[in-house]
Amino acid sequence: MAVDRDLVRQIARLACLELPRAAREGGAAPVEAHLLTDAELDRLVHELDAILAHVAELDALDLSGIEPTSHGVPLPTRLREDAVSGELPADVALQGAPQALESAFVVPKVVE
Amino acid sequence: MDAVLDLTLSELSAKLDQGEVSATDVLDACLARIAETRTLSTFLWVDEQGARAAAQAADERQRKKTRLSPLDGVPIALKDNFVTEGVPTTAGSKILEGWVPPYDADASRRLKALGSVIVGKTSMDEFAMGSSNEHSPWAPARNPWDPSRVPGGSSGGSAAAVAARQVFGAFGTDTGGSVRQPAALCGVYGLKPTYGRVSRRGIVAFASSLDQVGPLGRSPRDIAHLLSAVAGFDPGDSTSADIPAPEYARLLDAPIDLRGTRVGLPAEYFAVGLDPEVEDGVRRAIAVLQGAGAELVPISLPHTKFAVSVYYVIAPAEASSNLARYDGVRYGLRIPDRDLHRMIARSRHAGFGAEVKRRIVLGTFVLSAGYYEAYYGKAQRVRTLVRRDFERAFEAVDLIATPTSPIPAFPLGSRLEDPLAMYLADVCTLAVNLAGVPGLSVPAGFTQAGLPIGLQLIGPWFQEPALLRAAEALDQRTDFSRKKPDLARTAVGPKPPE
Repeated sequence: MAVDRDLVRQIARLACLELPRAAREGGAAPVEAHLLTDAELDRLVHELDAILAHVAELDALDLSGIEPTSHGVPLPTRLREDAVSGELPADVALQGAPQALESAFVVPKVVE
Repeated sequence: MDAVLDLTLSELSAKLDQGEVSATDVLDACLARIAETRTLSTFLWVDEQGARAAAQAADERQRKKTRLSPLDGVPIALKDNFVTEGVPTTAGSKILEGWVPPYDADASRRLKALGSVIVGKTSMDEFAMGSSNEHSPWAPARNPWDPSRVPGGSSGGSAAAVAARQVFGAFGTDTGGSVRQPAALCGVYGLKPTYGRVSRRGIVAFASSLDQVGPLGRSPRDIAHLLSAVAGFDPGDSTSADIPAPEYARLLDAPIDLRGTRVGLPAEYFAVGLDPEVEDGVRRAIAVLQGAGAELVPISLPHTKFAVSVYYVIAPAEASSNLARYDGVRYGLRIPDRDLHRMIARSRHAGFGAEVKRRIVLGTFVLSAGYYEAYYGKAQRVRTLVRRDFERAFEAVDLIATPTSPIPAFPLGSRLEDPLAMYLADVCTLAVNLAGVPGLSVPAGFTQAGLPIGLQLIGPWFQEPALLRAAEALDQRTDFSRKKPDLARTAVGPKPPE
């Protein structure tokens, strides 16, 4: 598995750790701006490469017919009544918000 | 009042019961100790006001002879990933700095209802990702036995606080060894209960199929009291086990006899990479168990060596999903931008530290289209093999004994440059989380340099009593857990690295 800067930047974008690709405005060429520096990228490339190289040891195992395990302790999936419980009042829920207005969380405009 | 701090939690509880000490006086002693040894950086937040109110209420009940539980009036600490109503909770991350939760974790709520005095929130690796306490935006906690060394992680603050007698017990969380490894490095007891034994509701999530709340204490009986306080069914956690929890401390009342107990020694855990002094200490402790009547049985857990690879695919995968919630919208850090997606990326980039970003990138990669089956799918299948190892082993033995950490506490800064080497040091603890079985780290002696050594006891699912009874047998025959670090050294600890 070859890890390079482009792959790491693409993964970082999926994880919202890197700015999204700049949108073209008025047909102008996009100006790319980044949060991850080349030094940070190189470090991540190096570390990811080392970890994935180690994980490749799993390829040696014959896993045919082996079911995946998602939890160590098999527990039944419980269903509950679809009833309101333990709700927080709106003003309490908004106390930690970086920006709030009346009963809403405020975010930058998303619809033109 | 200083002498009171050397009591175990169980001994203190008896004195509170008899009215020989007041909860307020005990709290004062704890707060004084925390202040005197503040260079250990064990606490991210000390809630003096809340603790004082809880202690006064406990004293009121003591006078009326209406104590609520063995923990009533007992000062304890919570790792900072336990959500606590009205008390700041950061999970060791800048992205949650200043957040004051509007509710209590199930464990926090239970501990308050039992009258315990929650002194504060302890230092940890950011989002519990780390084995040294150094992955923190703030001063890392230090080891009371040698302040130039790490206390282990990620529950390093809780382990160091218990070892330094700042509190009588503490809670941490254990996703890959984060209670057991710092317990071993700080010379205290630390239990990771069976997955599902303790509710995860209100615990800041790291890897949800592995995370489990666990107590740290200075005796097996203390661990039993702390476990009883938080164990039990919670309808608010879909993975909480609907199985009644026994009164664990009562199970230690009968004389302990290990005759007929088969203790398995897995060859894989005594393989290369184990520090000779650690191996020596662990083997001596195992010989003490044998002296108490236990039968030693050589066993094999053949997939142990794959546990690191499986863990470092599954845990980051789950973390990358869990940490998607930190978007600067509803709580936590926001770096403003006129565009929503840029605002989210800027906030996450500024709020998360390097280790957290590394794991999010790794986790996002192994879950991404084209790589999912090759990494995540494969890791989940090998996880089945790891679990089967334990199923087979427990057909032949009642307990398994191994080292907790292959090495004693290491110097601050010595392992930060090589994340893979740091991950490989978790080899003795990871399989336990992958399989969901309980594991208890037990003090097992000291190196020549005076650093604690930990023995790990592993039991079958929900067999915590068997672990505690074996630990009690060892504790009755040794004095490791009664040795104290020389806290005079903490006053002159070196400056933390920049």
